[in-house]
Amino acid sequence: MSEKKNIMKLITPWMIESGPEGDVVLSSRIRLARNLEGRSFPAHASVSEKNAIRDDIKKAINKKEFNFLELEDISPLERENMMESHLLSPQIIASPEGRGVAIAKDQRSSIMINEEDHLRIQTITPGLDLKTALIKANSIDDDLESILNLAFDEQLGYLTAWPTNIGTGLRVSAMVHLPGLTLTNNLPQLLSSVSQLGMVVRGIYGEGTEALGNLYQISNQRSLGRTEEEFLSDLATAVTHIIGEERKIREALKQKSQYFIEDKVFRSLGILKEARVISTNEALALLSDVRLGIDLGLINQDLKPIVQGLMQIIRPAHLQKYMGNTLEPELRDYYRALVIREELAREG
Amino acid sequence: MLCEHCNLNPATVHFKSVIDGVVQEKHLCQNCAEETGQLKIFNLSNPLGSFFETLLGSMELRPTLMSSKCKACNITFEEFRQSGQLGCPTCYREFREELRPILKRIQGDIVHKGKVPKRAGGKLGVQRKLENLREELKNLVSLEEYEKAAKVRDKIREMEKEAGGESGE
Repeated sequence: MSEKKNIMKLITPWMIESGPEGDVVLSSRIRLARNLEGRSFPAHASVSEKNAIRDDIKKAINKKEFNFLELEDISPLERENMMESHLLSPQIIASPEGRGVAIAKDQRSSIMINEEDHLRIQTITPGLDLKTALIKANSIDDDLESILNLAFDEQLGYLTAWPTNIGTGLRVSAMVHLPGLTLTNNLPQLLSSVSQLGMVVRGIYGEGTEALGNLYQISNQRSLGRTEEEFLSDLATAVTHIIGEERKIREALKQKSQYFIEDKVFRSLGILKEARVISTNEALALLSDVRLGIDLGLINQDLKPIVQGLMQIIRPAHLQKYMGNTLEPELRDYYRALVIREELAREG
Repeated sequence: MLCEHCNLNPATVHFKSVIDGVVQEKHLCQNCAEETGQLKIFNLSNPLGSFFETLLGSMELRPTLMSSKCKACNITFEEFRQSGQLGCPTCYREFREELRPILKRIQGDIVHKGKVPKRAGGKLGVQRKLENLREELKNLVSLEEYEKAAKVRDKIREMEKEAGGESGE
């Protein structure tokens, strides 16, 4: 491990930054779905049509700000790595033909090409800061629109492959860490009330993915009939409510079950510091406990960037990139434990 | 209650259908429901597609609709019903009427109130104004307010000239 790269260099910078309400909200995200007029949506387009669409979009993308990549040119491991960094969706990495991605130099903005729609503009900010993300997404959209003829209908708004995205083409989401609500079994009830407000809760990589490490993505369900700002403020209201509930429960846990919660946090830290073989899921669950310990003031704040970094680096593709080669799953579990031990030991 | 079809297993799947006002109930076990194809709409491999199938099942549709094609991308309404995805932007215009109740169900509202592309914004703005003026003209003529009507007509001509000039550039 002496030739090991610096762990932080492999981590998406925004992921270890803490933003507003950073004790509960990891990041805010905006997605705008856009399509070109006169072209079939990707699911119905032939590879040659998709290539033509990609070429048109490539010309419209600001080369100073974005690195443009054709997915066929990226190795499967690298694609998976980009998915773990939230730059690509699980759907797009399986079949790369005719698809592409443009990634901003700061990795806070990206544009997926020919995923479910011709264009998926995505912006991310640390913590709860949806407005900054929307302003950025709008400016990318304005730049593209000045060159591309986007499909738009006066009544239905921006036209998208799925009728669930028409209108604004907007998905606003916040990634939240809810160990308190999960631990006390309060989550199902809260989530059902959130869904009544028109919000959806998903796992960490979006649609159809599971919740790992007590991380959840909360986003709007509808996209038509309201302005972007209204959708934003609806989500912010729901998320603010969830933050309040999570904090209340954390405080109560600390007051009423101090020994229980301290035991849980330090036991998890102990396992992470000593384990020799560990799966992604177990590691994420334990890191979630340690993160909770940091946010409750039981563990030194200095450990937070390390914990946030580990939450990303221990995922299969990142781990393999970090180790510099592809690893069998059993070996991965061994090296994962090794990386965690070394990083935690570094902080004393 | 036992399954009406095989009379062996307990009935766990219950259907109620209303056709021309006649209510029919069916009580089947899981196996028979699958075999007779009654469970097809609950297949969750494509939740949205099956949702549309269920939704469309409750609507009155013109008989030729399922086989009618989008003139731009050639997908049929039947294909949309199965996949839940449209083929291209033109599909929304071709199937506008049929999509309206579906969109209303999933989106709640069917009028876009958000961002408008700057380029379309200019054109759309003029079109909207023209529509309003033509409506006003009609009203004025019916009220026999010919003097005012003439002014509105001149305004319309002026705007049409400008819009035409722009698109010709």
